[in-house]
Amino acid sequence: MNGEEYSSILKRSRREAHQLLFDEYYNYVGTIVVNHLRNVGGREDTEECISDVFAKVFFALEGQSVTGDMRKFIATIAKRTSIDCYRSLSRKTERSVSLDDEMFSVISSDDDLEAENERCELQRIVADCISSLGEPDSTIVIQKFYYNKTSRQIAGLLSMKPSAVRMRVKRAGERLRSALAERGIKEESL
Amino acid sequence: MNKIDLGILDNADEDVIEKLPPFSSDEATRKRVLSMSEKKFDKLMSEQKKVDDSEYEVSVSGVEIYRRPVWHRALGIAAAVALIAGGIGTAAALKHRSPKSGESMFGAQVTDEQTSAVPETSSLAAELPVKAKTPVIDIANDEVRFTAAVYAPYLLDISAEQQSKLAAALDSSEWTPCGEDEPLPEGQTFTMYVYNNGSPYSITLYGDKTVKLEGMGETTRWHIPDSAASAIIEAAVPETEKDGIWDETALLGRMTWCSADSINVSDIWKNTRAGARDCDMTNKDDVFFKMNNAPDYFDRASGTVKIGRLDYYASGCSGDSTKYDFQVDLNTAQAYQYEENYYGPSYEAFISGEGLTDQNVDFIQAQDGENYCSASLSDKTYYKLPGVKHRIDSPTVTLEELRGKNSESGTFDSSASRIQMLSGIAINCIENYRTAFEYLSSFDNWDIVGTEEVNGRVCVHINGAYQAAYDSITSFDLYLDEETGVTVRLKAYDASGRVVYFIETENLKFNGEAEQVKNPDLSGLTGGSEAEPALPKKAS
Repeated sequence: MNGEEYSSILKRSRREAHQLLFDEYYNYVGTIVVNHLRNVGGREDTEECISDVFAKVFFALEGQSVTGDMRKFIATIAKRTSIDCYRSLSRKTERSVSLDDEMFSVISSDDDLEAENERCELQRIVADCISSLGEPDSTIVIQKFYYNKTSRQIAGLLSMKPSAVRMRVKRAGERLRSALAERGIKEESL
Repeated sequence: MNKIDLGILDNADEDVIEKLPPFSSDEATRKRVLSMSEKKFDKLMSEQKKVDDSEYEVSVSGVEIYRRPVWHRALGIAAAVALIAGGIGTAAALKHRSPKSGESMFGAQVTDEQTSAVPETSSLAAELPVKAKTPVIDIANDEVRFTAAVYAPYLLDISAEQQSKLAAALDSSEWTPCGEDEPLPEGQTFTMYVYNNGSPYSITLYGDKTVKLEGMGETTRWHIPDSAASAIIEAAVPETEKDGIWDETALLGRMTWCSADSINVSDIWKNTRAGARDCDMTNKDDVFFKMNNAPDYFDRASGTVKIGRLDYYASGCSGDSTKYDFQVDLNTAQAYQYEENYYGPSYEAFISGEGLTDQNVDFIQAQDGENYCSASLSDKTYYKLPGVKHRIDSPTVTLEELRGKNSESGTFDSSASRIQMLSGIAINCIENYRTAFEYLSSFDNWDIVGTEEVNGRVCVHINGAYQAAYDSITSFDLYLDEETGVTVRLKAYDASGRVVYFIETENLKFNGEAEQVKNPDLSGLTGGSEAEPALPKKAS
């Protein structure tokens, strides 16, 4: 759904426009939010943050004639909101926010920049390796090892039996390790 | 196997996130999050409005002619977009800074007039800018309904033509605010309710041609010109008189019953089928949802439904069935049903109506919006009881709600189904919740075969297995009306493939095509509403 389509639906029905935008971008926004909150928030915090993102997006687009692709706009609001949530949750849990924390690195030395570049490159390789597993293994691996879903929950999402998911987790995990090793990445460096 | 730590992916750039298989949730979680989003959005809108109002208090003074009342809308986007579009990989983006004029994520040019400073309201609202206001009291494409003494306790949904005419009259009128001490006149009033995309408001017209504007947390009064007042009255009380007599039939299908305590700006919209949502009838969740909420997909219906059961013996088959001719209007809670009972030798005989033996036990069930009436034509008695249910008593149920006390296991809980509105009228046809639970609650046991035309309706064909130790049924074919979720045909088979239970709906018509609700003819019967008599018994 692009901006023109959203504006057109919004004129007809606010409820319908919100529902359609939510349906289309829920998984995308969820991915961004979890990517930022995975280590500081629980499931409820993630859901709160996702709902904050959509409330802001709905509000920002209210009555506005918009054109073009909305994905980047929504991603930007999602990222910014996630970072705000991260800060808030860190305060709540009295998590000390280090000046070295990559999320708050205001001024970076050359060494920091080099390390950050390396980290970004590593992220891309890992994401590529996961994609190379193909479906449904790439989804199973990410749901299991990143979103920390149980085999039963994954089975529900993919319409598979939990036993089949467990078997695929084992095999896909081994394939991922091999793919990373082929690119010279050891598991302990992740 | 050992867990693989993928923490390296945290705080990844967009290009990496795009490559990752997306996060996903079950349907219940998605619904909960959307609901939370809508509530937060409403709060943002409400806070934005308070900010707008306080601005007006400062900037407007003295007596001023207003062209018409203005309903404020927050249109904030450009500044927020400009603020956050610069990327947030660095801490600089975490700090608020002023947007550049004309920046827009969507390429749309935004003028300086449309953007202004961010007001300090709540933490959420403060992050988004206030923008120009726009008048949106344009009812041309909105949902509008009226109350007036002449048809109380019903609401009137005006015709598209009347709505267009009224919209034009209001659009061209100039309104001036009333003085603070101007008293409210006594006498007849006409109130117009506007849904306004979930932010409803009302306009009540008084005899002195003033109106009270109510909604979004405030009430104001205005003087309006004669032309606008006449347009409101004309829409509220359409010319339906025939030979000087009020002709209700001209408003058929446009009246909705409404209890006195729900006649207010927001509750008035609960007396409608607001819960209907688009359903993909190739999806099991949607099929189950629509079947459980079939009354949300039509206002009026009529048809004939036959329901029967057959037993098979070594010597042959015997069965009995009931045939109901019905008309219902769910908006007014008026309904009528004529019930006949038969014995028959086969499923085919019951469907064709040939070779049946009349049990000579006929009943009429009817309701008039307030009272329910049941008449036994064989006993020549009837009784009436109050307590008719209306749409407001039977809200839409979501799949999450249908799981009820079984939410942990994810299975469905039949006690969580919606309230039945009609007392025994077309019960397994248009209010088919029991059939839905009995046959479809275990999604593993059935499949959607496709769509077929049955008895003149396009239907979703479902084939499944039936598991109940106490019943001879082992499998079934179910045909649901694709448009409404109403049961058109159910054939339940025993292990030998013989029909042992069936529902067959014929001449099914909806809304404008549906037959008018009949009045029960109680002449020659004895009874009344003084006390509840014993329920009429069928002859054995």
